[in-house]
Amino acid sequence: MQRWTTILFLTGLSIVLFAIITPLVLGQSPMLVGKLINASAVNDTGAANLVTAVVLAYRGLDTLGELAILFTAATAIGIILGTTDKTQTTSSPTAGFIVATAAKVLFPLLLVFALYIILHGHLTPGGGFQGGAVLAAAFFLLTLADSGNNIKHKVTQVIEALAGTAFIVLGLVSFALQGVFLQPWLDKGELGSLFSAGSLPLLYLALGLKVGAELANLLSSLANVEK
Amino acid sequence: MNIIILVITVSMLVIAAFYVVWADSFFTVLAASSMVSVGLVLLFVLLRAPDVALTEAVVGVALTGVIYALTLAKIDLWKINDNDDNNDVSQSKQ
Amino acid sequence: MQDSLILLVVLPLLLAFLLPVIARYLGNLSGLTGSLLLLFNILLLANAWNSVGYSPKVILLGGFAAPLGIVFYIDKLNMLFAILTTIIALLLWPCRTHNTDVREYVLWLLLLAGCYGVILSGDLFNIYVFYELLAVASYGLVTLPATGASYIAGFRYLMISALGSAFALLGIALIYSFTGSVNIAHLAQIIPDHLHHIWGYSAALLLIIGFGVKAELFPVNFWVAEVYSHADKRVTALLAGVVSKIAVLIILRFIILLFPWQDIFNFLLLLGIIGVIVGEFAAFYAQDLLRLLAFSSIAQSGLVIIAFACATEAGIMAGIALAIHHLLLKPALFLLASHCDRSINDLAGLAKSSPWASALFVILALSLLGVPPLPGFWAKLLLLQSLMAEQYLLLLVLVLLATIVEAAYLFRLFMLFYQRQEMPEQKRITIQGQELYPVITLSGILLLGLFFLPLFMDSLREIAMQTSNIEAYINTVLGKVQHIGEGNI
Repeated sequence: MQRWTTILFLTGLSIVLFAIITPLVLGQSPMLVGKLINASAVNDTGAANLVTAVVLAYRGLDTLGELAILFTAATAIGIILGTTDKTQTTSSPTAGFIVATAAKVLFPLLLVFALYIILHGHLTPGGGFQGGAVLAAAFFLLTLADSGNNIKHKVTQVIEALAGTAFIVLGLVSFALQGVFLQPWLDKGELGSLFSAGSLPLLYLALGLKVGAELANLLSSLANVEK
Repeated sequence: MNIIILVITVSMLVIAAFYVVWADSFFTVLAASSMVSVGLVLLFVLLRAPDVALTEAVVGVALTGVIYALTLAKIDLWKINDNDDNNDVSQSKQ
Repeated sequence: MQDSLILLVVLPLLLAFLLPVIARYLGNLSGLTGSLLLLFNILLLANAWNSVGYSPKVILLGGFAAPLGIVFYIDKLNMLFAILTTIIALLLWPCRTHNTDVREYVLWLLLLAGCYGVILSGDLFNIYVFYELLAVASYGLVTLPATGASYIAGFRYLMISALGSAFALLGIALIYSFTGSVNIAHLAQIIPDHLHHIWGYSAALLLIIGFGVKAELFPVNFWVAEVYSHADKRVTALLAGVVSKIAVLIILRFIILLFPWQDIFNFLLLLGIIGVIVGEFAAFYAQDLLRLLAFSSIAQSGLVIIAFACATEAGIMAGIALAIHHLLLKPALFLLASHCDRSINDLAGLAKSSPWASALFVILALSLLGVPPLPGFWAKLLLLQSLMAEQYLLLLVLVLLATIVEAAYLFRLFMLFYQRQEMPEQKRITIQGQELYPVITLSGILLLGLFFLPLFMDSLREIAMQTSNIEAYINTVLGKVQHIGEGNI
């Protein structure tokens, strides 16, 4: 019975959504602002990946807001779980041989992948959010494989605080220098090279570390609180 | 060619989504909802949005499933080691 | 000068990020940092108040001109709401000296950053981001008492609020796919004429319902009573007083700038009047004080929505007056009521055990009702005048009827307070000393406002004029690049 009501509700919802998106032709929306950004992004920011130009330069405040939302969610979950720094773990079943070995093999690969995504955020698809999530997944994989191998809350907390502060301070420096918050500064460099796009890679680095530390913190605090 | 892949992807996505509602155990529900995310990843790649695909792959496929599993474990609804009966959605409601 | 107003949003975020770490060294002082920050914000706002004057200003974030980057729109209305938010947050700041989890301060700071962002931002998606920030922070804060009831209330609140956010996001996506822009001034040029069809209407409805969740708008407000009666008292006061009014402010901006269509106004009038009637009757039958106040808060929000939906200058002025009045008054009432969180009948003879508290409660409640010399009367008078001017006679009668119901339950309450019979000793409630200071301050501000009534009315009229001036908004934000996108749709 419950199943059928769920399906009925979902069908209704999908009809509404379908009705809403039918008039839209895929790939033909009037890109009023999009066109302008396509034309001027490279000059304005020096980032080869235009998505990064939008995420960090044109809509940098949105990114800061999203970072804060993630932080808020992690803090709220922390309050609900009600532990600050419990090192005690439950007697969770030990992981099997496959998981333990795969974790050891995958961990360095994931780490490199995450750092690549973060550091090349201004050149290729990806960036701080994605890289940070991979980073968190890499560290959590170790916890999964060996429940004694815990993520240290104190360390992640400090990394998280410093990274978040670094993001805002990078914005405040441009506020002090040019009177505008979160304006890209530093030399733009040569388009497409690793050291280009001014302050954007630094922002992405801070973002990635913050997201990674936060998610790792969240996952490990979910994983080992006593029942 | 592209259209065929698109159709396959979308139908896989829809079937997986229906299975989320139909499935009996939480384990299956999580697997199916990760499957929906996999479908979305393919869709985003086909629509040339690699950024979004990357995000969906990490968050949708991996992290969301893990978070759900951990939460279910916390409220004692996630028991892989036990018999399948204990994983039943309808039973745990009683 | 106005550029420094960006610090209103940035500094709370910075402190919130840092606080979990520096709290280890600060210990009990960590609560104080938030109070200092709020004082600094008041100075910042006071400093900018005069320099902004009656010509609105714009902050370009990242230094990109309007439709490309995010803008903050600074006018007197926004600054007024920001100032009132800061004052109330300062009074409600949970600065206990012992045993407070530092994460509570962090969530408060994040909630405040969200409030400032929503108030000041002039960009649809940016508003959504900050709205989400304040929503997520409030989910956490609602569960602070850590009782079963507060968890259930918080969970229900989260569900309905998340649904609302999804609706709002869908509305924004719809608008973006039709216009290709999310800048409000830019959209104000495009939407009213080019999107005046079914899709424009659906976007409008989605946005109104989405932001209506926090504004306690009629169909999506069933979380209100449960959350307000089980959450932490300071959080309740903030949600009922400030956050709901901020959401109403956003809806006002939407209907003036983006969807100035008569059908939308009528729809909002309908929602508002249903909200007023349902709220007042539910309050009439409510059995405990917090629930009663929660329902009356729904009714008050309905009144503000009715005023705004008149969409005339007089209506906007009345709406702002009602909103400000309620914003200052409801936190005080909730703070008083939080001490008597049981059945109304237990309050018999309260006046004897705590005379000051019950006197304050009566004065504030009379102002809520709109009894002549008190501030609430002038706000309600403005509403009635604007309804008269628009010839909404039926609405006028309904509003008056609702006021009569309100009077009935409030006077029943007063009779109980000043009843001669007292409750037995152990059930008696005493409210005194420190607990009363924020309430006294708020009532002081309200009553002091009476002496400056003519001055206040003038500036309110000015603010209403400025708010309803769509041309000025567009010109201020877009400046010279006005031609963008004309004829493209």
